[in-house]
Amino acid sequence: MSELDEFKATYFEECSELLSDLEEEFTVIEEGDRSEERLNAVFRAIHSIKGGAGAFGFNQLVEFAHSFETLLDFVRDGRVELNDEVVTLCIRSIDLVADFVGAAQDGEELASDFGEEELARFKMLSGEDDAESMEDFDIEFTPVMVNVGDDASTAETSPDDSLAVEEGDSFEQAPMETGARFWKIEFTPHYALYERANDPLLLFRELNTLGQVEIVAKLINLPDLSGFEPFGVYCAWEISVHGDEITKESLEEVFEFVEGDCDLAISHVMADADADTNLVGFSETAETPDQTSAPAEDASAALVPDLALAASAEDAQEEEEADISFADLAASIEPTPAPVSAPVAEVKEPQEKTKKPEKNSGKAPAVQSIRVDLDKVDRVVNMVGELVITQSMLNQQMDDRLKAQYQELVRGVEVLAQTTRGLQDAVMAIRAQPVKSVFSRMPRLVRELAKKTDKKIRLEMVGEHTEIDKTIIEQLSDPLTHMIRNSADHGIETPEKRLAAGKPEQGIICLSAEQAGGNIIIAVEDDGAGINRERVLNLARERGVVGPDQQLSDEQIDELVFAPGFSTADGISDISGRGVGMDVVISNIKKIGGSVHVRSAPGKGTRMTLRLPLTLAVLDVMLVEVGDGPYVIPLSSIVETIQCERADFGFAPSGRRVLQIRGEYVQVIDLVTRFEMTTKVPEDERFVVLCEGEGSMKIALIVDEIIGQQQVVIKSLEENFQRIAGIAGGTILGDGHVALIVDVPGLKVAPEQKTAA
Amino acid sequence: MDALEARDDSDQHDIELGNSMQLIAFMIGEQVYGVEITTVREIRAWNGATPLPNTQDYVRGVINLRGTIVPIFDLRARFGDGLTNTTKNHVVVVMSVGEKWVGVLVDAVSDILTISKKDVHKVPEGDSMDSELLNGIVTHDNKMVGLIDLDAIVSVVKTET
Repeated sequence: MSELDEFKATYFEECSELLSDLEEEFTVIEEGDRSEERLNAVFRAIHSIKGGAGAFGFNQLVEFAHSFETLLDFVRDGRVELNDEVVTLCIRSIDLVADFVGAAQDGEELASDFGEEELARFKMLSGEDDAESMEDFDIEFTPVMVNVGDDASTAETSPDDSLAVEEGDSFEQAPMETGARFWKIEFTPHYALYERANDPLLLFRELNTLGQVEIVAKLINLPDLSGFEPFGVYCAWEISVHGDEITKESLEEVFEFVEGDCDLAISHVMADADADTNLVGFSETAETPDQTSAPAEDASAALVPDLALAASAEDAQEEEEADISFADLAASIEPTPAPVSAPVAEVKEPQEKTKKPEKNSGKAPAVQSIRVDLDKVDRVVNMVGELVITQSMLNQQMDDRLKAQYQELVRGVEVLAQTTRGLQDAVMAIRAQPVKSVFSRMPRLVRELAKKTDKKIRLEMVGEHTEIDKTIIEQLSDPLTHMIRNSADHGIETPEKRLAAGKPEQGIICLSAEQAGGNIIIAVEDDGAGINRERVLNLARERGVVGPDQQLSDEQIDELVFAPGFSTADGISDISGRGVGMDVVISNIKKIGGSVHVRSAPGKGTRMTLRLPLTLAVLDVMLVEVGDGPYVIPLSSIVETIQCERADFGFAPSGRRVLQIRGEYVQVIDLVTRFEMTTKVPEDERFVVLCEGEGSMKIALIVDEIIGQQQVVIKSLEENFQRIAGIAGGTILGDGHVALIVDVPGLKVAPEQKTAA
Repeated sequence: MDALEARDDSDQHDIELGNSMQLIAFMIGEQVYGVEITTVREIRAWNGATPLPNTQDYVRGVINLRGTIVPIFDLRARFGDGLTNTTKNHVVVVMSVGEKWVGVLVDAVSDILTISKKDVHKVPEGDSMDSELLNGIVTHDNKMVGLIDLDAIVSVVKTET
């Protein structure tokens, strides 16, 4: 079964890709692009999701996706107008499909009425007929495992499904009518037909609405197993249509869409002639009715060879499938004309085929890619990291004397430096992914928020192709969700208020990503009311976040929204307002070495920016000396450095030293005392490193010496040891020694614990 | 739990080798200690370590072992005998304890001993430090060899934080 699990995993991966494609397509469609190409793309995506779901027996998903697909099909051929209402329904339905997929993935069962409303609307829009025939549709998705003689396939094959096929498929029930004239259609599809996502079954069903239809599959072209092409087209059909009012034109109309992709011959013939052809076509299987009355097991055993004979050389997989359906057929239903049941199995087969070419054609222009274990990539990243360090070590070893003496060597080292840089960038690019994978979850969020808050909100996305390290992307989802929630709930006003303020009814949230130097800037901007600074300040005073006499600049007040436990919402809604949102943003972003800023213009909107490092593997740091050990401080958290001599220190009433800088008082932490070391460096010659800690609160670290800036690879201390308060990890310097990375936000917390203890 | 498992492992090992086991013996002052040879990964000369702040004094710091950071425990200090006055002649024995690699700072590595499992005696009751850090005592060439309980050395650190 593990193999099956693997297939499932692949299916779910595909689903998430397809869903994000769908989301994208509909965004364009919503904007007014109603081209056929787009409709085909969404149709294909839904169809692929449905197909896989059927194979794994996710019935709820199949049912929903099928109705959805039917509607899309009707839209595609113009029977249903693609108006805004339908588009909204479709977009809502994509969310539902995502829920179904999610539920299937987690092995959960959704409430049976989940999505019922949408389902009903599908049926209403696409008409009664189709709703009825939906049951029939299950047949194509009788699970087919390409697993010869294995238990997995038999276990997955639900006998009930195949039974439903025999009983339910309407065109099989057509009794033969003799003596009258009827239409005979010879229909041989080409590969192109399947490639364009056409489905013979739909054509047959269409024919069935015109009159009584009898369909016979011809497998004369089926090659030996050795010559069997999985994508090959081996099946042709001979269709007889009985009905008084049928004209050649009406028949041709059915095949209008596949014109040119198949061989089609339509003729008006007498019943007698038909009897002859039928006899020829089914001479081998004609005897089966007698055998079906035998006990079930014998019957199936006897039937299988018969079928195999009829189909010349069938795939083993198909044999098995047929085995089951025939066994059940024999066991549970009255003997029916066997020729009818034989083609049924064949109808499925091309159906299976259609899916594959479809997918191929859908993805054909895509860049070729391979899936690689992230671990493997990380190993390369680590090694390149080591290489970068070795290279910088080499550079450090080159003193002026050496440089003068060995010019060739210098040139070599320079080239090495360049190549190493290039290699590093290339490796990082492997890990990099477009932020689209996170952004694509946001439109749904905005839709749901808009619905819940009764606001009109449009989400605009810019730069979703900006690439950023995968690990960072994974950490982005929560912060972005919180930020967008915040914008939707607190930022954007209700339509009435907006109109009153002279703004358009619909609010806009703009989510953008861009690369700026070694950073990625992700911004969430809304055109809402902006931050109510007065209220924020009052609330902050009330809750003791800000002291009663403390004067804050506008910017500082804005930043208060990130303080833990802070919420400006008048009431707690189920979207936001519990005050756990924005500080989560801060802590998540800090964790990955980024920073958060917020700027707001009253009445005009708010802009929240995330500044993120391009990669996590290599960190830009400042190398400092504290006591007798080398330490590094991430550059991203450093605001500035000052010589102690020039720094303006003061003392708080508690006796703690504070640094006064530009009217701000900042907590001072002497790393030597904090890390329980001693130093011989005189106080005035030491340095202050002003850092931004938790929630943009600054702290001043005092170090003995500033050595310089460099790039380091982060190593874990916990791997072989344990976490140490105030230390974020270790790194290996050019000389092979270990330097410790200062955990700036962590420093602030620890000493309080110490004094308490 | 870890400690129990490790003991089980060493028991199994004994069965495989019949009834004997091999130790790497090292000195701290005049006292000989031993660890099972299979746990030892590397022996290297002391070349300094980056001190770790806010840890117990017997944690001498961390070293770079081919790109991984490995903590060094001063065994003398661990036994409560003060910090080792390190020279270039001191030795770090790198061992694996469960998933982790740790280094132990000792004065010198003296020998590889093959001992019989039945010669391993229980640590006499009384001194809690001894029974806590030793798995047993074995006599070799009329000298007492203490079998280091590596799990204890590492796990004690954990519980203290």
